[in-house]
Amino acid sequence: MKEIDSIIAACLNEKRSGQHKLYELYAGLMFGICLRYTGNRTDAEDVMQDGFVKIFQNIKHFRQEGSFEGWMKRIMVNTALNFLRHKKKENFIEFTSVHSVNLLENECFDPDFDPHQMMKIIQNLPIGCRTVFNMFAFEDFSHKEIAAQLGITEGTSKSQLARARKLLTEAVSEFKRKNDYQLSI
Amino acid sequence: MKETHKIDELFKKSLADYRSELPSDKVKKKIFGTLAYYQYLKWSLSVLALLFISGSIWAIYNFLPVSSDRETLNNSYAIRDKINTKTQLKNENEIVSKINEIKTVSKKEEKKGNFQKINKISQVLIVSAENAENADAKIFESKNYDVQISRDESFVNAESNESIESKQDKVLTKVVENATEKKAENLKLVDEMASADGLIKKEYKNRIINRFELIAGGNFYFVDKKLSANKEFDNLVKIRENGEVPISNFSPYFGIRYNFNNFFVQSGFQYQKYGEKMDIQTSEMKFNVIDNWFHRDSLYYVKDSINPPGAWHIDTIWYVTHDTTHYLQKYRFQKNNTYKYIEIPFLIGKKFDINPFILEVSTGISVGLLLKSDAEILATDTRSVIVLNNEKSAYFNQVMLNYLFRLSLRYNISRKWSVFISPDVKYNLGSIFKDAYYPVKQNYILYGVGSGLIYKF
Repeated sequence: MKEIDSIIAACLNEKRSGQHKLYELYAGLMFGICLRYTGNRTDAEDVMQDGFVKIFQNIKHFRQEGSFEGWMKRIMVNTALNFLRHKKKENFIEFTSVHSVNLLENECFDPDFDPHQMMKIIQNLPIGCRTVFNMFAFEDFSHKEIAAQLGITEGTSKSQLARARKLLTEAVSEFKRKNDYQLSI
Repeated sequence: MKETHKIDELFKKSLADYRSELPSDKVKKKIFGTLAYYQYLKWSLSVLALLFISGSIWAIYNFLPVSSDRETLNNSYAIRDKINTKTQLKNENEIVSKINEIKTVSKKEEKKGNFQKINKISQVLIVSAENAENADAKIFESKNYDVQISRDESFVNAESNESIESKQDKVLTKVVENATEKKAENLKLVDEMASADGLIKKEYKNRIINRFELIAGGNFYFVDKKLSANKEFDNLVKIRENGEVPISNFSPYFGIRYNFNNFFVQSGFQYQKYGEKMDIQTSEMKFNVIDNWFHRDSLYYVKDSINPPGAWHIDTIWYVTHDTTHYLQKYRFQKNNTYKYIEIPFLIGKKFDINPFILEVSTGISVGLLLKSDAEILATDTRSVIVLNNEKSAYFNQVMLNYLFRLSLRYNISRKWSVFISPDVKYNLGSIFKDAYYPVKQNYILYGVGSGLIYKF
């Protein structure tokens, strides 16, 4: 029996020791997701708390067929979306002025970016762009699904994604330029 | 097909298994605190339910007096009589058995010619008869039988042995005859008692069941809401009070009641919805760095009358001005909030006969368990809302206690069925939100009018 299976079994029996082990094992990963969605530690901690309570309470519904980690991630993402949904309605406005972004077509990024830097870049996005980008790029939601989940139109979802890509591209380029400059010094 | 983009891939690859540094310890504490609370809640409710059930059973079998129902009362008198008869019969049986025993001993002594001893035995026999409670009168008659038996030893000595023997024999014969008659009667009565036992048990069972009633109905509630908070959140309370209107609702109810004398205890389930219509508008002064604009009437020239005289200048007075530094950002939040509970009331009440109606006054508490929520509440910054569409959210007190007071006017339409109308008042004893999460206490007060049917078993 794998370690995770024994931990899950302990959690199913509502044993505190098992629940603590599960928390220790996945807290970092889950908190990363929370930070990616909320953008700040305070909100991320709230989401993390709600998410883990849901995980422990609903673990009996987990079907052993799929990945447990994937199941936990889905719960955490849904909790984060619940938290964000309607929280800042005014941030989900449509950006009609953003043109299609082709800035990366001729650019080649270093695939070994520091993940902490990448996380900071995402966290600094406005909440609307960040949410749509996270759902589209990381959770593979379609625009239709994003629109339904967030209560916005597909057009708004698309314009938010375009804006996110533009801002991320600029941030990455800026970051790279500073890095190159420092290296040249 | 879903469009892909290099920047998407770049971030996805970099952050696929990103592990952040752990959150603060208070998060872990809160998670396990919440879990412990839920577990405590589960156990408390189980214990409460167990106590209620066992208490009810105990009360039914040990404490509650017989119902005042006329028919049941008559039956109970009959049963009581039978029980008394049974006790009496038991005593008489014992007496007859004792007499038979004495008779046997007496006969043996008679054969031996020990008449003095027979006399003693006769005395015992008489004393037994005297002492026997509820003994048949015929047994007592033996005392005054045509032959008087003296307890005085001198009497025994004065009479001839033959005479005494004859007298004693007559007494014993009579006693034995009586005993035989009694025995036959007893056997008959024992048979009757056997059937009486069955009747007693059946009647007792019926009496218990007849005390229960089923109730089905519903209440229409007019809802009022009380918001309170510390002074620093006065503004939040005011905005919410102005922008939220509680929604009236209908609440179905199913219950069971146990009657004893003119009192009753009642429990059941009630589906209860709380909520309000929210339409809040707030605003915030913002600094505008993008959209500052202004117009001036630059098409026209005016003659400067002062310096230099007669020169033409552009009119520098703005004809349209906008605040180029600040603007008012407006927010509007609209939502019909609902919090759905299942409530378990525990009521105790008293009935008053007001012919042809019965007035019932009851009071108690109800324990509400949150089933579902679909709500948004204004956040403390007054510029955003907290979404509460998850009933497991840490914001909620999962269990809510309510105080209940109910009047009910009941009319029996048949022996089994009754209808009632019942105004009642209910209010939340605690806030629906945890103080630690939301600083505004929110209590609902409900004024209801209910109606329904009662079925008596």
